[in-house]
Amino acid sequence: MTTLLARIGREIAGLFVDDGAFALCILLVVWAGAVAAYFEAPSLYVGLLLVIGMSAVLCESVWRALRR
Amino acid sequence: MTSWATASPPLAAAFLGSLVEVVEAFTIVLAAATVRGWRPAALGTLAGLATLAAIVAALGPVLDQVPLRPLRLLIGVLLLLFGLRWLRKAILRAAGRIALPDEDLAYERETLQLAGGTAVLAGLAAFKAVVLEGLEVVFIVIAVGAGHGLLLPASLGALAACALVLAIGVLLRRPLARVPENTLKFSVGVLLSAFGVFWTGEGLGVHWPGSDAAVVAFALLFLVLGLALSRMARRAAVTA
Repeated sequence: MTTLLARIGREIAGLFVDDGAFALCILLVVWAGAVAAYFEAPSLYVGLLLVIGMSAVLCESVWRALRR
Repeated sequence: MTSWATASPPLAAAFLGSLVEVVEAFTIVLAAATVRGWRPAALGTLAGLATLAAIVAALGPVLDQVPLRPLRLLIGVLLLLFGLRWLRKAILRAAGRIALPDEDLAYERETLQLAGGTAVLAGLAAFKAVVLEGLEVVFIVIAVGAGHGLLLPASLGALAACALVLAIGVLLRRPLARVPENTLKFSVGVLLSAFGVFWTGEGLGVHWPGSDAAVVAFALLFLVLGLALSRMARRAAVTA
């Protein structure tokens, strides 16, 4: 039972993270957006930061994987 | 009254995402049934479904207590982690950098593992498959539906996927190896990433131009980006 629970825990974590650097970059972009929103940056800028940031994170991660 | 235009994106995302997961679970349940008969496999599946129902019943009231903005932010971040991960994986699989999923191979491997075991072991394998893959279905349904009161269409999408896989699987009685899993994962990755950006922004107080229609624009953006990256990755694989 403990093994099953541990496996379920690992599976749940694995749903969101398999490449640590990739997950960290996503969280960093969200954090940057949160900071911008906290300092009352215009709403559109925060939105653009998220859209461009996530696109850049995806491109960088695929590029990094291809160079390995 | 929820309009079709509002309900269709979460319904489609839940349907496609669930299709992938249910096909994977079905392969293992079928292997358990082939080796030890339908009774332990069906009992394991029913126990798994009951566990999932208990998890959903426990989560529902908790979600109702969480204020909408932090809930949207949390769901948005989880969707980004989940959706972009699927999209990245699908791009790398299309380029041959990661092996494509093979249900026939998974079925053979599972059948071999269960061949020497008991009926209880076969039942447990079915239970584990249903719970583990089902958790992903539950997450997808909650993530695409909970932030905007669209749990019903998202649940309907997931149930339709279950019914479709079960109906085809019972008729064929073999793994559904022809389901284009990578294309499905790519499509779901695109949709979940789009929802992720949308909900994260809403959680941070962003007023998206066009309101809900912004999700469609994000989906188009990730689709174009994903296709361009797939093409680039395939070219890089050929020249390497």
